[in-house]
Amino acid sequence: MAETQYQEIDTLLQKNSFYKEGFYTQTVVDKLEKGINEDVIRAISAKKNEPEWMLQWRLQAYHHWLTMKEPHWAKAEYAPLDYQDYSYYAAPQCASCATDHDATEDEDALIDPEVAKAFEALGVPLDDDAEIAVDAIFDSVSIKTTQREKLKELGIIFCSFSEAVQEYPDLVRKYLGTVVPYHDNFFAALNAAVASDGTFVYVPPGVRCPVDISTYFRINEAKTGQFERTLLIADKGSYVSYIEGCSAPIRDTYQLHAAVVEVIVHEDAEVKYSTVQNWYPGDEDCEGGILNFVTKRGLCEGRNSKLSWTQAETGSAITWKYPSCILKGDNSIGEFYSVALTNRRQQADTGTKMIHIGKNTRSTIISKGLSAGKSDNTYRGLVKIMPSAEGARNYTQCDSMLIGDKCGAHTFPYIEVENPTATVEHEATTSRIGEDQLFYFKARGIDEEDAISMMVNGFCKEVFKELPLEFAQEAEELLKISLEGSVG
Amino acid sequence: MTTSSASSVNKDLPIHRLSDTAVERLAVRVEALNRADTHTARQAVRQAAFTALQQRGFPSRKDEDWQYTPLDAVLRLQFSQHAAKTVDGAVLQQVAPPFCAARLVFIDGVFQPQLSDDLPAGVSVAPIREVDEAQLEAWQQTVGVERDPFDLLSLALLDQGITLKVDRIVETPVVLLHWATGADELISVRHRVEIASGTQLTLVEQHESMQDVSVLLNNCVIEAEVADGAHYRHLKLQRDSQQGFHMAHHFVRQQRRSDFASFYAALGGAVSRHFTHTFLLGEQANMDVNSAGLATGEQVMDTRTHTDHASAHCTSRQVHKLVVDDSARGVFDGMIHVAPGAQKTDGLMDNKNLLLGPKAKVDAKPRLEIYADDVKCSHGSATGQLDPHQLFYARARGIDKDIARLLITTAFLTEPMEGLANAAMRAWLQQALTDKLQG
Amino acid sequence: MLLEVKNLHAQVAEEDKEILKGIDLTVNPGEVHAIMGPNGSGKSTFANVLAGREDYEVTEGQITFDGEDLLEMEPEDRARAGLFLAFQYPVEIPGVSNKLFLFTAVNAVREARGLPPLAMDEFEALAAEKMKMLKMRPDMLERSVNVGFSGGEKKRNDMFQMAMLEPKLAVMDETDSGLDIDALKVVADGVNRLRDGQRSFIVVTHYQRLLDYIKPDYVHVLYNGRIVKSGGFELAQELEEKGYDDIIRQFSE
Repeated sequence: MAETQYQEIDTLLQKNSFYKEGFYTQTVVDKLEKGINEDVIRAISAKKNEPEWMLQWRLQAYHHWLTMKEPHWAKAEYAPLDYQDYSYYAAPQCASCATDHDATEDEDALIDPEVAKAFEALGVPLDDDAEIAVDAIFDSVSIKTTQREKLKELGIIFCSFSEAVQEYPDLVRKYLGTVVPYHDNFFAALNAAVASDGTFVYVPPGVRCPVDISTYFRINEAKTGQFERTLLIADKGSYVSYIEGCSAPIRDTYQLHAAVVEVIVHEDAEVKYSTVQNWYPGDEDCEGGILNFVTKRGLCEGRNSKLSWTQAETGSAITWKYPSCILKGDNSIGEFYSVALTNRRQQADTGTKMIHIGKNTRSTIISKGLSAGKSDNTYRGLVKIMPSAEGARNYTQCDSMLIGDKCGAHTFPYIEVENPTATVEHEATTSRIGEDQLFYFKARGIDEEDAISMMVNGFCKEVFKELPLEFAQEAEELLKISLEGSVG
Repeated sequence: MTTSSASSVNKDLPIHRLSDTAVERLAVRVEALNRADTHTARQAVRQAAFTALQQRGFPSRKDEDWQYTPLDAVLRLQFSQHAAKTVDGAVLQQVAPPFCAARLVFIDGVFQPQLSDDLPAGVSVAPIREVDEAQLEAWQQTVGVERDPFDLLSLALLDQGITLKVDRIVETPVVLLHWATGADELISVRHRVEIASGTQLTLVEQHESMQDVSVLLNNCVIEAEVADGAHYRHLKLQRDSQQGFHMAHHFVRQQRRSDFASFYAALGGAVSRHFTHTFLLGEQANMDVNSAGLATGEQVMDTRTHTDHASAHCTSRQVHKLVVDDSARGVFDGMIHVAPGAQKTDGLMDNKNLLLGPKAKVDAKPRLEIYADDVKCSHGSATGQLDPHQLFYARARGIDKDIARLLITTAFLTEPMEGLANAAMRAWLQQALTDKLQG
Repeated sequence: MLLEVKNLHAQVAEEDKEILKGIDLTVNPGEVHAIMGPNGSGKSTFANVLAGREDYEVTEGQITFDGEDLLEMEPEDRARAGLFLAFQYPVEIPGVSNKLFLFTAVNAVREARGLPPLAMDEFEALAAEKMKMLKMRPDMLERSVNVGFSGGEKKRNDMFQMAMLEPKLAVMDETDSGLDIDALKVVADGVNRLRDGQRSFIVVTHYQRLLDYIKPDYVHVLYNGRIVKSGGFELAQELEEKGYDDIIRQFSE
């Protein structure tokens, strides 16, 4: 591409600071003072009226966190985080009263109308008749969980994590921290200490969840960290498709998002976990964007269980995220489908870990990285075949596309095979949208924006087809907006 | 730059993970070298490298670049020296390659002119000790803790090895035979190869050892400068003792329109590691780096490459294969790095591993790091077993199961050398591989 | 009698699904038998069980080949005893030249028959003669086994191997309906050239068109793991006209 074209790209990129989810909601807020210490943790626990075991678990995690060092990847650059400069709890007042009392049917009456408006603007349906069941989380608390009664009739538990601690303490205690222990890593420890809210899903044996279940995360307050904890359990022979979405207002300082997701899949059960991540990426230099340091991991505990992660990552200033599968049950299946798009100075370091333990376990990894602007986009993944994983198979395909000559695209796979009957295949390619291709489109009367959009969608097709339909459309839209003007 | 004498080597600074005796012996060696060689720039290089090595220490598996290469056994070495053994020229003749070549012989790292052939026209050789000031300066400037510890060790013990200069097209291959007798538990050789603009060299790097050789570390570094339009062909046969440790670096700096082709056959060593680091500095340079390794018993065989596409319009091609039998471990680590502005880079890296043994293991880390958009880069890595369909096809034609296995495995290993060397060279390397396969 | 199959039952190894449910077949020297049948009837399985492919497990029955218990023999021993399988999809073996492959095979077979091994030049002369007969390009010998060969070339290469190994019984696994007319002719031509009144053939095929070129002595219809009908060449013609529908109606479970 010619020099001049890149100048055009830069100009266009500068114009394109459009983040439609970037509004802020004015509401009365119950917010803890900035800073983290044992009292803050006790205060969070007290606000949530938690049982003693939960508090102890938090404190244990906190003390362990104090002994840990913040990890730094060679490629990611950002000023050191000041953990005392964040508030670890923020809740719109009305809603916080709702969680202080037991959840009631007239929850609606208690939702702050401003918050309700915010979700409406984000297109998140809070009514019980939508095609999808929603847990709406605003800063540190869950505002509303729709369709829970309908689901309850099938024995499916779908509620906020805080409620689950109150109402299903046995289930929570049984599974919490079994897949991601509090000492797993620096951010997982921090999360366990100050876990705000999150979603709890339990699907009983033999039940196919009839609707998609989803959570929408919204960070509203400034200098607030969001530390949601999601726990999803699919009991024997069950099926659930779970979706999460996220956004945040425009800020000028980095905001920390350190979530933990644990998924447990029992014998013959299947979980599809889809994410469309659109956290605020920050300004031109990604100042003020979200730092998205997330630990997501699933355990395929039973025979023939299946866990499929699908993600479309377009937001955040920095993303570190490796949704992983521990394939413990014989014949269990792990899948990872990812589209990650970085623009401006965004940095994404994402991928997966497939740990094969059981016999004849299979995993598939399809990763599509798109880099534009001055961004860096890295695939980092581990495929590990343990000595016990007789006949295990993995297939990995990582494709990168570079849009512009100031960005970077990287592929760092780690392949460890400790069983000689395993078959592991990895392929990676790098390409770009070529001038000749663009010309071909133009010669057939298609303008450049459409041409790029078509080619990018073609590039990502294998991943988008894994997303639930309405989300696939949203992801395509997001890509279009995030890429707008990135090629001259 | 310091003008200090040998006595300033600090023995008290321990090298992380090495035994006190070994550190002591290393320090004594560096000291002795600096006492015998009063050239201040050389003293300074040795000393700076040794200090950097002391500060850096030897790696553990926590180091990203060493997580798959266990060094525990290497670090138990005492670096003792025993009485020198005499080497019979007839023994060396047995390992001579079956093609016309000029051979230079190094016994335990020491060049043996009386056992070596005459050099072909266009090739000149000088001891590495006589390397020019500019090169010493370059080393001095770049020694630091970020450098590979075995490379630092090589500079700290800068003494043995040659500078080989080529100033015309040389058809006769030059063989560097490294023969280990076990008299010295630490062999450190550093060669420089300088191929002048428009000229050509085929270098055969051969590592062999006596049958009953005891445990030792063979640390070999080759630096090659390939000038504009020059051709450098490199073949390496590594047949060190099964108890030995083989650590090798091959740094190749390529200028405009130069060609570099390399094939590495890995057979020996309890732990072996061969690292090819290529710098594609000039436009339209081509690189073709391939390898085949056969790991048996408890061997750990590590092949790694780092390809720096620092300039536009360069091509790199790689095929690396490992056959891993018994309880052995194979490691492949390859990085293609494309610098900003290195447009029209064409990089391809392929790694295939065959697991034969019941406890065979493989670790692979093929990587791409790309900062230019108009590039074509790809890598692949596949690990698996002998194809049962191929085996059955051969057996259905009456071929014995074991022979079918041998045929298919040999073909797997020899594929990377296709089109690389001439037929005689290929046959020689293939024979070495099949000898071990039939073991 | 050359081959006698009695009550042969087989399934995919480690799966509990029986594919062959009791096959009986007798082949005498010089006879050409065709085995036809709809897709999934077990034709290809039968051919592969004869050659000893380990993907299948024989659960019941006997096979006697030239007086010996075939099921006790390894695949290479079956080949040496004179049983040849022409593959539906000949396998590619990169890096192993056709010459080395076949040289090894021919001498292994010769050794088993008590013949002295061929020297390379003798082998080359023999190969040249057979290749000429099959209208093959001489450079095929230098190329890797089947690598980069077209469908027709692969078939021709298999016929060439058959000519070199001189089997007593050749089993042609030609169920592939995608075979083009040229490839069909290659197979038919190979069979006809090697038909000498002593050598026997079992031709497994879905369509009659291959049989038009080969003209088998006997035609058997395999359905649902059993031979449900046998006859002469006219049976093949009948099937071509009427298709397998009648058979399916009559014998479906």
